[in-house]
Amino acid sequence: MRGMDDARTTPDGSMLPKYVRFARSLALVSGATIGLGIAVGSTVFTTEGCMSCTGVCGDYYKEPDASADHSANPDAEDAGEDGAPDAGIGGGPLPAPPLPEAWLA
Amino acid sequence: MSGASPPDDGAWLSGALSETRLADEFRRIEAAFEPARNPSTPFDPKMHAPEVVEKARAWWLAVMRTEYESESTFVEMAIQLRAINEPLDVQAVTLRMAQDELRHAAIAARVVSALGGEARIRPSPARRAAAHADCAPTESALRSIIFGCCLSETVNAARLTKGYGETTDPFIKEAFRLLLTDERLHAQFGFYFLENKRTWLDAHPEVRRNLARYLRFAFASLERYMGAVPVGAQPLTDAERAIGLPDLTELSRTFQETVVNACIPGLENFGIDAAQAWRERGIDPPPKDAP
Repeated sequence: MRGMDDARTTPDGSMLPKYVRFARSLALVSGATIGLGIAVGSTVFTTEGCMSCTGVCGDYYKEPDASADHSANPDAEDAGEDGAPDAGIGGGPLPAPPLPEAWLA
Repeated sequence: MSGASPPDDGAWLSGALSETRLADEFRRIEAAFEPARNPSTPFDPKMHAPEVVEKARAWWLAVMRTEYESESTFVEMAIQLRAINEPLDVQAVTLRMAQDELRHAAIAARVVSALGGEARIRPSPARRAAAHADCAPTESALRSIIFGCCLSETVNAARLTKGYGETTDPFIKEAFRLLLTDERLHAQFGFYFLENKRTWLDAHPEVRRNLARYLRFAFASLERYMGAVPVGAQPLTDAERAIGLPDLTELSRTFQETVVNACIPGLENFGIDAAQAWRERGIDPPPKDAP
């Protein structure tokens, strides 16, 4: 069963889950995007970000890369003794990994 | 961008606030900081099967651990910002976010206790920021903030929002809400910081190019950690979803949907070619870059 937050609504036939819409509003809260919202007069930005997105931001929803093989996590054995990986809900910021030697030519 | 810009060489500190939205956050901390609140609705174990409560208990214990362990990432980020003397409000908000992680650990601990568990963890040693020997301190700080906030915390905020929407247990839902209140800032901080550095980035186009190149590796690295489905993951039952357990079979989809539709357009707003970096992501350098 899909959860209620998987509801997808867009005006142009594409679909965007609510949780992605929220994340997008956080990422696009910069001045440039607010300017766009004001220009079209249809997007309301709050201190929480865009909470009434109508899809005016343009390039709106992109499907995940279906060809990518992410069927198994090679690091699953590092998930912790409780069996719950760090990667689900409740994680914090991750430290930026440095580029490996092969990238430093 | 308005307000004072830090000097490019990072050797001086201005007493002026940045006068971005981060300055507003700073003033809110000064005026209205409040300690972690307890979820106001008591947990009712009769609403759930015992085995589901047990799974939730184990999950929130893991949340307590990861929240606690992630505090040092923000501390290290604050040290990086101190090294280049970013404005006082930027540094203070970064330290507030470190404090948030400790508050989140306390919230998770209360959930574990309410579910009948013992809120005790054995944390890993504090994470230290790895040196980025191939770039200067400002670019290194940008890498940390983009990876930590614009990417990983934005995905975390999306998943928390999803969990909040799907959970029907009022006690767990309130706990999600408390976490999400701060995670919003943790994600947005990265984009606010980029806004603060926009003028500096305009003057350093080579850093934009370097960041885009770094993102090729960063996306692939993060995807292995946050965007891969664990071996043996099973879809949730309705009862598990109701108590707020995450669906581990959806990790790849939620990661990709959030990165492609939120993180990448957010970074592209600042002239960083994140879309191409995503298309060319890889743990190994592309052939044309190989030594």
